[in-house]
Amino acid sequence: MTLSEYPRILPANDSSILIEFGDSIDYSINAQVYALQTEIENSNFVDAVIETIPSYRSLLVEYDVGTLNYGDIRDQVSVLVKRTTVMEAAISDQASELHQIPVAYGGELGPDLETVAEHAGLDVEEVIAIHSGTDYHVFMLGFAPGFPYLGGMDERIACPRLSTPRTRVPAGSVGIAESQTGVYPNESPGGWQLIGRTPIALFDVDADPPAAMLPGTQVNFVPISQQEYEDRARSE
Amino acid sequence: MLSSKSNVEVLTAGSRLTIQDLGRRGSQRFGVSVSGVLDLQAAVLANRLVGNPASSAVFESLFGGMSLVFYADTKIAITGAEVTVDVDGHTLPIWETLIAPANSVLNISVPSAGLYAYVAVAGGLDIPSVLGSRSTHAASGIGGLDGRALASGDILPIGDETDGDVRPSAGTTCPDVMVPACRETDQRVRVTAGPQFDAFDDGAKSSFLASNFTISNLTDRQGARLDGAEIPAIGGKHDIVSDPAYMGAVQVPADGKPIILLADRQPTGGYAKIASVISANLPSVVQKAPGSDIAFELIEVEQAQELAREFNNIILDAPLQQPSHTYSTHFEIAGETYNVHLVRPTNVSNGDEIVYVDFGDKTEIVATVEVLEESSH
Repeated sequence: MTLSEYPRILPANDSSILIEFGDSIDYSINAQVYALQTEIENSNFVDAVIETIPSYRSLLVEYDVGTLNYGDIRDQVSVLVKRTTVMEAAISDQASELHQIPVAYGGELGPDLETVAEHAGLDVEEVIAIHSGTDYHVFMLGFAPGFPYLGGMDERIACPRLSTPRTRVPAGSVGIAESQTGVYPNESPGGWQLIGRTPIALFDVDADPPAAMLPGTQVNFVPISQQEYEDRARSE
Repeated sequence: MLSSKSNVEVLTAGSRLTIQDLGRRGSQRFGVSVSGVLDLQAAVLANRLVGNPASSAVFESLFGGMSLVFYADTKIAITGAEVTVDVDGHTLPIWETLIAPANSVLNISVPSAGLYAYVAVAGGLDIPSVLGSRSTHAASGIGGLDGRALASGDILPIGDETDGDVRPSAGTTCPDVMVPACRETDQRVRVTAGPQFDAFDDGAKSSFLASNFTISNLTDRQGARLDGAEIPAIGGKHDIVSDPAYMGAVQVPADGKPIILLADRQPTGGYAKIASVISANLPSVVQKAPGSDIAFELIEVEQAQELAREFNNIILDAPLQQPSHTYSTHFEIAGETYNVHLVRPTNVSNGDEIVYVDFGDKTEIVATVEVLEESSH
C-alpha cells in the first residue's frame, strides 16, 4: 500500500459517491469521516445531498442526479476532502463529547459477568472496574437502530461469544464479544456475554437525536446498583 | 364529491402487506434502515394516478391475494405486479385511475408475473410519521402501523394529501412508456462497478458478468440472493471493514453467492460489493420472482446517470394519458333512469363493457350498459 492511496473518491452507484479514508479501524481515519460529514452538511451543495452514511473508515454521500452528475460532486467533494485531511489532526486532538451510560453490573441483569471474570482470571469487581474505567469511541452505529460499534475495550476482559446464542436478549443489555463491547438498544436474539444492563433508552424515535450514543463521540459506563437500575427503569 | 376523509380496512392481507412511502431518510447514521417502496416506479405512478404527491404512503402487497374495504367513494390505483383486480366482482384494469364506491370490496389476485403490487388511495394513508417517514421496517419495528406488517381487521385512515388542485379523472392511464418493468424478462440488468470491484480478479469479474443467475427462494425486502456461479474474491477476502450499504449494491459473502441489497437493508455491511444495479433497472430487479433468471451487463457511471435522469423524467414528469373517449349512455338503478356520460380511455363495444360511472356526487358500478352514442373528448 502506498501513502497516496487514501483518501480515495469513487462512485458507489449512479447516485452515491464514496470517500474512503483508509481500510482499517482507526481513530484518526474515523475522525476524518465525521469531519467530512460536517463539511458536506455545511457546503453550498448540501441541498443536492439526500443523505450521508458514515462508517468506520468511509463516508457515503447519496445525491440527487437531477442536480449533480458524478464529475461535479467529485470535484466539490475533493476540495472538502483536502480541507478535512488538513484539519484532521486538530479535530482528533479535541476532547470530544463524553456521554455517560449508567450500568447495573452482574446478577440477573448481567448473567455472564462471572463467566467473563473466570475467563479473564479476574474478580468480578476487577472486570467492572476495567469495563467502567475506559472511555469508548463510538466508531459508528449500524446493524440495528442505535447499535454502537465501540472501540477501546481493554483486552484483559475479552471473552468469546456464547456457544449457543440467546433467543432473547433484553433491551439495554451490555455485552462483550471477543475484544468488543456493546449495548443492545432493543430486545433481540444475541450471542454476546451479558455483563450488565442500562436503564436508559438507547434508541427512541421520539427523541432528537434518536440515539443516545452518537457516532464520532465518546461514551463511558458508570456502575449503578440494582436498586438504582430499577428506580431509573421505572421512571424512564 | 369524492370524500377523501375516510378509512380503508384490510379484509385479507395476503402473504405480506405493508405500508411504505419513499423511505426513511437521514437516520441511517443512527443505524436505521431506509425501507420504503421496493418498486419506486410502480409506487410513484400509483400515487400520480390518484393525484397524490410521490411521497404519499401506499400499500405494498407481496404476491397479492389481498382485499380491502373502502367506507367512502375513493379514487384508487393499482400498479406493479401483473395482478387481476376486481371491485365488488367487476374486473378493472391496473395502471389506471379507478373509483372504489363506498362499502365496496377491492380484491387483488396472486400475480401472473412480478412480486409486488401497489395500491394508492387518493389522499394517502394517514398513519403517524416516524423519523420523517411512514414506511414499515418490520425487522426493527419502526414505522407503518405499530411497526408491523398489516393483518386482517386493521383500519387505516385516509389523508388529504394532494399534488394539485384537481385529481386525475377515473379512466386516466399511464402511457406505455411508463408501464414496465416486471414484463421485461429477457433484458440484462445493467450495473456499474461496485466500490470493491477490484477485490475480484479478472476471472471472477468475467464470471460475474457472463453468468446467468437465478433468484433464490431466500429473497425478501432486505435482499435478493442469487444462485448460480460462485464468485471468489482475491485471496478469499470477502469480509471488509464495515462500509456503508445502499439500494442495489451487489455484495458477495464468503460462499461466493451474490446478494442484491434492497430497501430493508442495514445501513452498513461487511461484505465486498462487486457491482451496483443502476437505478433505472431496480424496479425490474425487485419484481423478479424466485426462480427467475438474472444476468448483468457492466456500464459506466456516466451512462447510468443519463439513464437515471431519463427514468426520473418519465415517472415523475411525463404526462399521464387523459381519458380519450366519452360515451353518452343511460341505465336504470332501482327503477330510475340515469343519463350519463361515460368516460373510458379506450373504445368499448356496444353494451358489453362498463366499469364505473362517476356522477360527481355519487358513484355506481353497473355490470353492463348500452352505448348509445360515441363522441370524441
